[in-house]
Amino acid sequence: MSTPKAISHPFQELKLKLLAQPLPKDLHTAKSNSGQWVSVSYSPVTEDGEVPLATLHSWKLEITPITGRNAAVTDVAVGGDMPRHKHGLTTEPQIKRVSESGYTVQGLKFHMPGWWRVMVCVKLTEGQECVPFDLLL
Amino acid sequence: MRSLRSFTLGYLIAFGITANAEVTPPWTKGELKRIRSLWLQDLPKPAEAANNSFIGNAAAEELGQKLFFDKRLSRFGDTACVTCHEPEKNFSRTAMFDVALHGPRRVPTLVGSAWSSFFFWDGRKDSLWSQTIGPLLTQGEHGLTAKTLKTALLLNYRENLRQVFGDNAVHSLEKDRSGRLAAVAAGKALSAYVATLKPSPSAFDRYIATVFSGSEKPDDFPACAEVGLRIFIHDGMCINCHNGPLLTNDSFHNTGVPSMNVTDKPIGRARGVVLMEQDPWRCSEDFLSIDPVKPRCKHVQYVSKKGLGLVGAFKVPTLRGVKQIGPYMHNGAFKSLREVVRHYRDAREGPTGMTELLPLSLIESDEAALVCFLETL
Repeated sequence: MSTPKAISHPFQELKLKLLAQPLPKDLHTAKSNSGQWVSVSYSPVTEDGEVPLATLHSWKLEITPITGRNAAVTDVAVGGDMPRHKHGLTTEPQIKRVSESGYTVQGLKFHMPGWWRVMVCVKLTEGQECVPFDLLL
Repeated sequence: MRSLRSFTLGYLIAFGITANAEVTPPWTKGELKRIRSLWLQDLPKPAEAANNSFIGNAAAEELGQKLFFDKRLSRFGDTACVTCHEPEKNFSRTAMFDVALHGPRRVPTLVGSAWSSFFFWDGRKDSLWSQTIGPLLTQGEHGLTAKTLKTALLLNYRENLRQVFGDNAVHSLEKDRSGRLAAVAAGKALSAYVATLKPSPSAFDRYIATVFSGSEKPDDFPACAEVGLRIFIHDGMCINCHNGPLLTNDSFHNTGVPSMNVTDKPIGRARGVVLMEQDPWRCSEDFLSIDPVKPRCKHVQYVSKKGLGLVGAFKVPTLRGVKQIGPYMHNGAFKSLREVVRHYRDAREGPTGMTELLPLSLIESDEAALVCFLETL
């Protein structure tokens, strides 16, 4: 019977630390009070409304400046990575504004199952904020 | 936390069941969802259909099949697609192929390739039809030029071309002195044929059917394969990259595969994206006189073209029929599935000094079970 090999390389130690991170509990698709500037929600544009694995698809975003803030959205960026693996999307999503508060994110593809964290970063006329969304696929 | 493997073992001991028995713990809801996601019956339509409107066209498939087996489409009349993609070896072959500037490369299977988005181990082609042109016009393979390919096509397949693409397309092809349109026509027809090479349901698919129907397990899916399946979707983490009905995420990963010799460059996807953009037959190029439907190319539009993660990353192959298509990895570094499993267990850094893998705590019986499962695919 063989035994598992000893871990000797610093990269491997780092990866084991990443893997030890606890899975997130907040999997909400709308975050209205997590930050200072905006509330953000997302919905996948798929037949069943679920985020698919290893399939190119789009999301709809709703981004609204928090009441009382006199600021307008000037730019939005979206990225994603796997906190336990330290690598991210193999695509570069593109964002289009489709209404006053609505955006589409095209080109999302989550190519591995597990914990993904998607960051929606919003730049406003005053200030900026990144809102994280956790997904378990 | 108690591992799933020790739970399985405990269950087997508690109920007096040996490893050879046919009873294992029932699958949980989450496990069933994962297993279901691997079922061949849920295969969608081929991705290539978005790039080639002749997918599913019977006349194009027939022409493509003729081209596939025709050695006249080579400089010395000695090479056809079938020379390397042998039907009796799952449209692959066991001998390695030495690719200039890349090193030794294993011939990938063509079965299920129409469901892929990027081709060659570094993904330097962004459509199947464009991939088929590559070997035709490469010295050391078919060795043709676009002009000699045009001559060979018109000499031997003029009527077939008319039937598939129409008179106007053939007229354009004849007038095109560069031969580029002839290459496009050959590629579209070959791709239509290759898209007919769909994997057959395996012992694993028959097993999944019984899991969901409650009927008796198939004889060709032994108990060791069921144990191996648990490792595949849990401790082995194989499903991270080998997912979906074709058991590939159609992506690129650096798994630290050792180089075979000094010519074996571990650059992988980092060079593939550059070559893809320089390719004269890339997806975004319109060849509307041959194929009147504009390709969509969404997979190219959003693809990531930079980052350290591309260095040393090679395409994740399908595991369908994997028993038949060794040696394994992009460069044939491992002769057996057992060697492959041990490479993943140890997770050594490869020639780039990196690997995405994590060491696995697999004991010998786990390795054997995993191989047993892989042999049912």
